[in-house]
Amino acid sequence: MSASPGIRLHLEGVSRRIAERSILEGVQLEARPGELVAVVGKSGCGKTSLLRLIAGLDTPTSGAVRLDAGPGQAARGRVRMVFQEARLLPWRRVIDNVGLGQPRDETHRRAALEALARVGLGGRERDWPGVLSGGEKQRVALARALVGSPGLLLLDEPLGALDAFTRLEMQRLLENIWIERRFTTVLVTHDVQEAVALADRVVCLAAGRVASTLEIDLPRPRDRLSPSFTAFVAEVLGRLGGQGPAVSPELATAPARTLTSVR
Amino acid sequence: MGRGATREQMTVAILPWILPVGLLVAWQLLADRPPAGHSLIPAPSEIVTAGVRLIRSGELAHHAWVSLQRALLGLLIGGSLGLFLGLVNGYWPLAERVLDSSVQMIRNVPHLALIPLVILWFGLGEGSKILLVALGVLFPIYVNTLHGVRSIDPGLLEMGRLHGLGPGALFRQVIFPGALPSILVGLRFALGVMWLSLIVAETIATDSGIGYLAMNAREFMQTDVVILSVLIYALLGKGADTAARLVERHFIAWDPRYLRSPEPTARS
Repeated sequence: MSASPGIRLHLEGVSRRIAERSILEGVQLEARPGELVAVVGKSGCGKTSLLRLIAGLDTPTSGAVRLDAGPGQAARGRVRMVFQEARLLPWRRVIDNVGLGQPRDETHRRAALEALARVGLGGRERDWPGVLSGGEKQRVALARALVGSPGLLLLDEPLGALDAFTRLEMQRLLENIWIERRFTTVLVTHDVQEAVALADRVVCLAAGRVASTLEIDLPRPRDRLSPSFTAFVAEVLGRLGGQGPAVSPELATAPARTLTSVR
Repeated sequence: MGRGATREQMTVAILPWILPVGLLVAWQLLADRPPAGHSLIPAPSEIVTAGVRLIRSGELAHHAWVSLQRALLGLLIGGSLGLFLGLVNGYWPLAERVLDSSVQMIRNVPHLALIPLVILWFGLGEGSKILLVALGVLFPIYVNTLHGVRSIDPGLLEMGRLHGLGPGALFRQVIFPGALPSILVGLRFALGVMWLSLIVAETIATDSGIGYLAMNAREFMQTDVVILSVLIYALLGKGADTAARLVERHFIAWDPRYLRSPEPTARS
């Protein structure tokens, strides 16, 4: 599997208003090809709106979203998104969900099978989505995003609805696939630990603006128990205006998690 | 279910039949009393005899076939129209603004009340009967199709577009299969209305079909044939419902309710 170069992402003063309410205000953001950027923030801060703008699902009121896949390369078709809900078509088998939008021939079928095997669901291709667990559904959604060499992967709290064990497993899987493929990734999450564990750079969003940006220069794979890791988590939480380092990261993220899952 | 059935299973299988079979036996015993000739309550054996006679003469097959043709043709016409309107109005808000009020107004007129008008306009031929059936089945299919399209998760549509599905592919892969369970519910409702409309249409003015058979028998006081006709309607209705269920099982095999048993056995 050849590593495809990631898409360069550039947001220039992007704003979005719905009626008179401002959702995003002059967001300036850049992701280098192959970079993994995490966007964190409290619920309602505009994280998901930002991702939807990048995906082209919504249009900005002002400003521009630029995608650059290199000279002469189309970028739009290589943007993939994974949502918090798996959004699988219940009436199509796993394999057909993975191959959604791809031509139905042997080459693409093989690509879908390969993606399915990569997320650890080899042999489940004939199953209906209805029999899968939450984690398995999310794996299928991830496999669907991997087919057709994505250049930019947008992850909208993809692990938000999973239990803690499954989430850890999925984080590891995501990181490994990203290291293999090197597509540009924007991960929106309310889980600061997750952001620090996976991202090259964490962008803190507050009230529709980029409040601050933090480079995470820890070596991979990251040791979540190391003092430097904990320090980064505490730093991000502090910048988000949450509790300071006195509270353990798990406790500090807890309220945010409950809030977003209710949304 | 099979050869390996235990006593308990046999008992369970027999239970629903005790009452109807008992009634039949009682009926036969009581009806045997009155003097010979036509009775108002013929014994089951007389109905069977009448049935055998009509099957031998080929009349039964002829009339049943005519009725079935009318029913299916009406279903096809009314059903397609209802399906089309439901899909268009469900997917395209402008079409709904334009069409839905009118459809709802027509829907609220009992279609059997239109019989005099239909006869005036279309005469006593096949057209008027098929039209009545079509009018009857249109609305259950329309309403349920509309509901089915509406209840599709917008997230799935969004995801489909994100994966490059055009309008045609989106319809084939997301909208239609998503609405199908609801459409099939509409179909089962429509089958009920289909027979009802046909029965009424056939009793009013016709020279063939099960309804005619019954009306004709009434004139000659052949109560056995009248009851036989009612039974034929029941059988046809049951057959249509079973067919609809099989279709449902086949097309909604993905539904978690059907997924419990990997190879669902069709029950009637």
